[in-house]
Amino acid sequence: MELRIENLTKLYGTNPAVNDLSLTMTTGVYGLLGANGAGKTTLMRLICDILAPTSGRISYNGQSIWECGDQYRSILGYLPQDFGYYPDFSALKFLLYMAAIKGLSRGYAKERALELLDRVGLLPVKDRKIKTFSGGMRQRLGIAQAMLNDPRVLVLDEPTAGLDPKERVRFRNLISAFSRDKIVLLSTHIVSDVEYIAGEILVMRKGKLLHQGRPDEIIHTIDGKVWECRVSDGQAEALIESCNVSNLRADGKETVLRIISGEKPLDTAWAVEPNLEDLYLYYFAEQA
Amino acid sequence: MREMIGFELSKILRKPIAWAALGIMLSMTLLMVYNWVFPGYVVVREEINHQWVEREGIEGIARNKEIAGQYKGSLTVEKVREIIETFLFSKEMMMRQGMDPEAQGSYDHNSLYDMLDDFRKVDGSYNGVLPEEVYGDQAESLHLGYFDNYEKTIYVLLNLFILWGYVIIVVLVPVFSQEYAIGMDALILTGSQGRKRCPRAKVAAAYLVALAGSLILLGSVFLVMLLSHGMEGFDTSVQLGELKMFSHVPYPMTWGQMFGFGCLLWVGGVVILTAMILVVSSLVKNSFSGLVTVLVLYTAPLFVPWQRFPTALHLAGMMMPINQFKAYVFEGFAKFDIGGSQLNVMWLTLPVAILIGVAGIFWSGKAFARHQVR
Repeated sequence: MELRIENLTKLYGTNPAVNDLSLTMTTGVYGLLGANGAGKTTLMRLICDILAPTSGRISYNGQSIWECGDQYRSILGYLPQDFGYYPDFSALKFLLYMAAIKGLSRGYAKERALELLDRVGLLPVKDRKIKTFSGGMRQRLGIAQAMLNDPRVLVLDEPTAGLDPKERVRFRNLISAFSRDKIVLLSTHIVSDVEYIAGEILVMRKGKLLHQGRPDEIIHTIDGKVWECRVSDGQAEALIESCNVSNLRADGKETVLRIISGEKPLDTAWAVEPNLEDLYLYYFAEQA
Repeated sequence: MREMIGFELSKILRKPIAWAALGIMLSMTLLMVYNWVFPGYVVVREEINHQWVEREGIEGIARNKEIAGQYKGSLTVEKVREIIETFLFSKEMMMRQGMDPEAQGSYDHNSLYDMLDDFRKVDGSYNGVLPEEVYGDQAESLHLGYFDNYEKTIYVLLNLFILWGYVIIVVLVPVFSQEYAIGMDALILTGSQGRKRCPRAKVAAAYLVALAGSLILLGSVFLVMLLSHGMEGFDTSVQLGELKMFSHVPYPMTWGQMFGFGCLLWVGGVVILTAMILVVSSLVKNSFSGLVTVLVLYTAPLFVPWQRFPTALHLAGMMMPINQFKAYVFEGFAKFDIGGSQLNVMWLTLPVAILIGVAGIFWSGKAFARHQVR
């Protein structure tokens, strides 16, 4: 199974949202990292064929997704960033509607909808109107609808937005269990979510793919660029102003700062192992 | 497909605004039927053996039908004179009733007498005008009889259909545009049935609501007419009516035929309007801009002086839904020749409605399927 993107470009006017991007995805979970405006959502919409590219090609198992049409959509699951819903529909009715849209038979649709509602913890409230749901519950319903047709390609745009830590753990487990033999592409601002479940990380900036690789590999690209130092409160304020500080922690009368910098920020600073959050801040310091 | 149409129907009908619009429609229907069809405003005033007799409601209807029955048949000058003279009030009686004898023509007598206002002086007496002078060559073919039921029912229906047009707009504009506004377009368009079956189901549900509502409206008003007035008057000439809606139709036509053409125009107008709504709904970004656009497209033709334009454009203007609902706007058109037979211009509605209806189904579905989620 292979989803291949070749020289994909999407221009809004003259502004490229996705710029000559090429990428090949096989089975596994791909975490898409990028600041706001990096082009993540545009890329996902292009993959889902709800936005036409200016140029380039997307193919699934060698066949253009535009030629595959409904056949491609039958193996696709999508959760958009701003997940729409019908406020007066119950959770179950909404899933049954989405199942009809996805071409599932009536009998199987109900069975599958109940199974997924159970998996996302919404079975006890299946008959409640969606308008009474919290943001987290709606997001879980969105995740359930994306998985209704047991998609081979699952595209999730900010799926953990609005979920509390417990729900995020549940989501990560769900995706991990689901992702076998499937392509899962998910974008998030919550770096730890992809750190735990993504087999590969894709870093996007200004419509281009900056890096692609396993989390440990990609983190090593900033080896020697993450530092910690122990400073007084006064020094700490000055460093926060002048450096890219990823964390600060009070330790007695002093403060321990975690700084991302190409050069040693202070003589007393020592190098530390980078993590994915440092990587995010390294590339997206301005936006962050 | 049936399941999907069911979902679309529930989306259309579950909105409070839809219920509010349908509630207004129902209230206006009851009000119009009450005021015009039954009991309506029926007053038959007569002087019988120097006694003043006034009949209303069912009794008034029965008396009107009885009088119409007496004079049923060709419209002749003798009948005109006889009707006017028979039902003329005496001056003494009018004085006793506190009426102005000099303005007798402006008081209600009975449907037949009131209809003949072209043949009366202000004081209510015959003015000597001949039927040929009022109706030209057609006078000889005109058929006198009861007309109250059809005339008032058609009047009520054409007004109610104009209102029904607004209700359809409010109820159906969100069919596609709501999906764009709430972000459901992204989910629908990524489903394997989202680009073909789903728009088809939306269109089917929209037409179902519009047509079922139209048939219920037509059927219920007609039923009230049938129960209160009966079918009588089916063969009375459409030119002979008190409200003068169709007095200038330049060829023989009966009230029964006109009711049939009315049904064609109203249902045809609903089909055209629904197609318009669906196309606009599939093209705009949200329901509000869709609503404003369709309201303008629907209402604007009311303010265009179509009769000043060349015939083709005039006819095109008549095909606008609001003009179709106002069936009497067709009264001035002569029949047109097609393959040697003379056809009423109202028949044009049929091919136009089919054409625009099909184009609306096709175009709105395509526009939705090609919609770009931004």
